Amino acid sequence: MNDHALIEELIAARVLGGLDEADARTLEREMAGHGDCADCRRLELAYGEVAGRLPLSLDPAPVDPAIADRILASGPASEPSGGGLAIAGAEPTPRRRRRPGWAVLVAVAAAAALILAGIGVVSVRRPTTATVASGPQVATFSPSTNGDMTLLYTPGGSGVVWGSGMTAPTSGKVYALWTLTGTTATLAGCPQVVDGAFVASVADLQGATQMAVTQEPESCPSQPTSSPIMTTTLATS
Amino acid sequence: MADVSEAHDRELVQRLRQGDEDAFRGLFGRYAPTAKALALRVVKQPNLAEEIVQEAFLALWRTPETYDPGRGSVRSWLMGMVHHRAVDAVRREEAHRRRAEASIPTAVSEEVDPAEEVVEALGIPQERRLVRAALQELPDEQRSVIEMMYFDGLSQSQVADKTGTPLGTVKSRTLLGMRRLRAALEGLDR
Repeated sequence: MNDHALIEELIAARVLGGLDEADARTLEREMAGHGDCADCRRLELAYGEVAGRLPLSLDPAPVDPAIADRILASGPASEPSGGGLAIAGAEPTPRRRRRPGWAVLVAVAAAAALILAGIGVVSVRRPTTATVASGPQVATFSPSTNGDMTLLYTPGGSGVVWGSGMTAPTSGKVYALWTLTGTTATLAGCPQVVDGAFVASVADLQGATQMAVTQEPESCPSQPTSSPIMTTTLATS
Repeated sequence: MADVSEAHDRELVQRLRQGDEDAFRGLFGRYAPTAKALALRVVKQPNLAEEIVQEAFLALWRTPETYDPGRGSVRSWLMGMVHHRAVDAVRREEAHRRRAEASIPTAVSEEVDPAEEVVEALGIPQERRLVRAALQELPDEQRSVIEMMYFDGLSQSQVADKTGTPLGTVKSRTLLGMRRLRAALEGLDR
């Protein structure tokens, strides 16, 4: 057990979310050195369960039951609502490969890049005309080169975006989600992609006419530093 | 008790893969109140806490296949998703959160939530008592290090800075505290 002392110490801190970056790298290195290690797995499992029980020390908090309704309204996981989600136990959902014309893509990417870079005011020609709507809407991002992304949202309100079949971002980068309001890009978050999937909330879509995805440094900067790789047009309220 | 409820949870996750809405509502009723409490404790902003819960349960609904039974219980997986998102949110919005912190009451509303009745029925209260007792039995310095890391989203070096304690001491307190908790709670897994 002695040769697991360091690993145990680091795992105990990691499951609490308290591991510093240098220690995280040490743990990664140590674990790699142990290879397929049953004792390491046992430690991860045991301390993971300890951490997983800590929330039970808190009094339960009331939850808006409408959350469950909203989630279920997004459609069954086995029937993706335009997002092409892959579901275990089912045949893999064919990835959407139909792409908008290159001319449109180039126009959108160029316009969005200019908007994101804050270079002047650009009249954006969108691939589809923004519509006016009030109920929940679903928007898909294109192109799907990096994976399938779908936004479930209330125009002018909030939304939830999820991705599946996502390729890993370039090393040292993360995906960043932006809402575009006129010439202003606002960071909506840098979701962590796990096993090619992620889910993220978009708190405020007031005035937003598009959403875009870029790859950014891991610090998740508040201003975009690169051109969008995926976009979608939003209905307005 | 834990074996039975854990087996039930796993069955529910399995049913989610077929898009079973009742299974989803079962897991939501069982864990959403605890997930919300965790998120609220970490981010201290009710709206943000609710968003985090929504994200985590949407992930559960959309991608139940990402749960790997070999890596632990459904509860730990779910709470891990909530905790990860909450800590990320805190670290991103730390400055903003600190400003809001003073105005957020720490006590949770005492309204009775229907979901809590489900929780009550499934035996979680006994686990709650055991977890609370295990935490209370820790020496203060060990409990406080664990709580600062898990509930306040601080790294070990941040805990050391905040408390003026050597980093090595923080690390050893973490390990000793976690070992004690592990020993105290191990019986729940049998």
